[in-house]
Amino acid sequence: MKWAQHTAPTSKMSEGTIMTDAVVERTKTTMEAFERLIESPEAESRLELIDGEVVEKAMATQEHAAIVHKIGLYVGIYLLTHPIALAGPETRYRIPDEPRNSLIPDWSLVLTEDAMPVTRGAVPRMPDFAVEVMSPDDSIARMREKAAIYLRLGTRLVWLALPRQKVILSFWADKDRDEGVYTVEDTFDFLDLLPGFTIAIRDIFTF
Amino acid sequence: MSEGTITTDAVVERTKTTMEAFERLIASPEAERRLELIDGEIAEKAMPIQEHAQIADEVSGLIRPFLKVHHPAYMGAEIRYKRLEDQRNSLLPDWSFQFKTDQSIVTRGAVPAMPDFVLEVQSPDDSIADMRKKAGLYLTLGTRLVWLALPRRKVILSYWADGSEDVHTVEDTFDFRDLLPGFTIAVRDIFAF
Repeated sequence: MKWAQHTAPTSKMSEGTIMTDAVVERTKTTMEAFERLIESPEAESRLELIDGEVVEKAMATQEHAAIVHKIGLYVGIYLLTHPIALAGPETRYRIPDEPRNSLIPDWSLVLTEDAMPVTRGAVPRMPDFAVEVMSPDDSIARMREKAAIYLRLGTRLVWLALPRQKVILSFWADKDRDEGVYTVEDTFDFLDLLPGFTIAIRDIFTF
Repeated sequence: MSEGTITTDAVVERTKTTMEAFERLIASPEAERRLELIDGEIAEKAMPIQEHAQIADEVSGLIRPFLKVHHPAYMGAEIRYKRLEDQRNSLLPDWSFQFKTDQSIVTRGAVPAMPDFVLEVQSPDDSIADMRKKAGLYLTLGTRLVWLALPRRKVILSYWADGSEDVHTVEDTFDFRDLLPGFTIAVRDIFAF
C-alpha cells in the first residue's frame, strides 16, 4: 500500500474530467468519475478510492510480495482443509451503496458459504480479513486510517504488516478485542474468524 | 454521583467531573489512589507491578545521563502535569521529563505545563487503543514525544507531535532526533532485566 504524498493542483481537473497523469497524487473525486477512470485504457496504475480520494498503490517490492505470499500460503493451507473462504492478493472491494471507497487490500479473504467468486468488477462488500503491507513511503498513521475505514465498512480483522520491524499490527472490529502488536516471538490466533488457526509471526517474515 | 459530590470509592470507574471537584478529591486525606483527569474523566492509574516499575527505571537510567550533560531538564516518575488554562486534563505519566525553562522547579501542586517527553508503560489491564488515545492527548496539549512501552511484546510505540509514529522492537535503536540531538537508545536495553 502506498499513499501518494502530494496535493493535486485543483485547476488541473474537475469531477468527471480527471486525468490519469494527475492520479498519482491524492485527488478528491466521485465514485462515478473514479470508475470511468479505472476502466479507461490508459489507466495502467492500480488505483483505489479511499474516503473519496484517489490513491495509487505502490508497485510491490520483492520483500512486500514475499510477505503477501507467505500470508497467502499459510492461510491457504488452512483453507484447503477448511473451505470457508475465498482469498487472494489485490482483489477490489466496493460496497454498492457506499460511494467513497473502492479498496484493494494487498491480501484479503472473504468468508463465503457458496464459494462462487465474483467474475467481473469489484466484490460488492468488504473483505472479512484485510492485510496491508507497509511500503517504504507509507506512514503507520495513514495505514491505521485505512484500517479504520475497513473496520467501519464491515471488515472483521485488519493486519498491518511492518517489514522493517517484522511486526504485525492487528485491529479487530469487535470492540472487546484490543489492538495488537505482534513480534516474531508471538503467535497470532484468528479466534472465531478462522477457528483453530494460528500463525507464528516469525514464519511470515522468514524468507 | 453529581459534580462536586464525588466520593473516593466511586472513582475506580471513569467518571465525568469538573477540574474543581477533581482537585478537591485529590487533595482530600482519604484520596490514596493515583488519580488522573483525562479529557474530563477521572481515571485511576493501576498500581505498578515490578516489571512496570523496572521499565520506567531503565528508561530513566538511560536518558538521565544525557540530559544531565546536554539538556538541563526536570524529570521523574509520576509527576503531575496540568496546564493552567486546561480544565479537562490533569495527567500523571509513568515517567517524563521537561526541559528547564524560566519556570523554577514546582514545589507544590501540578507542573503548569506538559512534559516534553512522556513514557507510559502498559499495565496488564490497559488497552493499546486507550493508551494511544492518551498519547494523542499529550501531543495535543504540547508534549513533543510519547512512548508507549509494551512489556509483554518488548516493543516501544512512539508518537511525535508532527504526527509521525513508529513501532520499535528489541532489534531497533531509537533516535530522539531534534528532541535530544545525537542521542539514541537501543530498545533491547529497556527490556533487558
